[in-house]
Amino acid sequence: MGDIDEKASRSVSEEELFYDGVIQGDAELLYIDSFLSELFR
Amino acid sequence: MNVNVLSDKMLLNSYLSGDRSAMSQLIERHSRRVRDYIRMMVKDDAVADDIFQETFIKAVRVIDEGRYTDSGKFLSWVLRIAHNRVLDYFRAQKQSKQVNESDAGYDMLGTLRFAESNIEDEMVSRQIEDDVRRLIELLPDEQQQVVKMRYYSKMSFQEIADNTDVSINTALGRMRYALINLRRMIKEKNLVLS
Repeated sequence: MGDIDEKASRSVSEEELFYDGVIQGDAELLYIDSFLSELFR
Repeated sequence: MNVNVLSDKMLLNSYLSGDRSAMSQLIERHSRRVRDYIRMMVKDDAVADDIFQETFIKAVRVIDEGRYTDSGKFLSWVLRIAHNRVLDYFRAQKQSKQVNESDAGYDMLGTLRFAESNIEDEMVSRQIEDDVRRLIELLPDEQQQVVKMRYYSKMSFQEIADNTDVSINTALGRMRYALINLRRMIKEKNLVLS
């Protein structure tokens, strides 16, 4: 995630930071996040 | 050349240089993860297949139009497209339900209502919520904090970073580990998220 701070300083969208920094291609993590977002909507 | 050693970027460049088979190889490399995610969300193989195709049709179109800039995160980008397609599907389902509801009736204000969930659905939903809240309480303090700020308080990662006095990099890292830990606990306790 070394480029995350650099991306943040360029005001890259939250969505892009989230997918690149948190999910990193892990479909299960994306599912859990989607589930939690919906559960606590 | 052994395609297994070609990075996503190399395959993309190869495709853009005219090697159409490079795109097939790139899609094949990531198809399982993308398909798994879509299936987990929509729980219907036929719908998942449609959304999977729409996802890669969109991805290829963006690439063909020169609007994709590779930063080494091809799979992340494709998962975003897939996720948005899944949301479009759920929205369409919701609208379709509203149309059906109008045939069945409407409340005194003339507004459409969704079908009321039955008592059993609500109990199951409440139980799942309780179980998940308990798991969140088991997370290390820093991870728990990020999770609560994101899901309970709907804060952005920048807001979370500012409020906890850490870099956004750290906030994102804590979120990632929180999800990894939640996944582990969900599997250990055989919880079914549905």
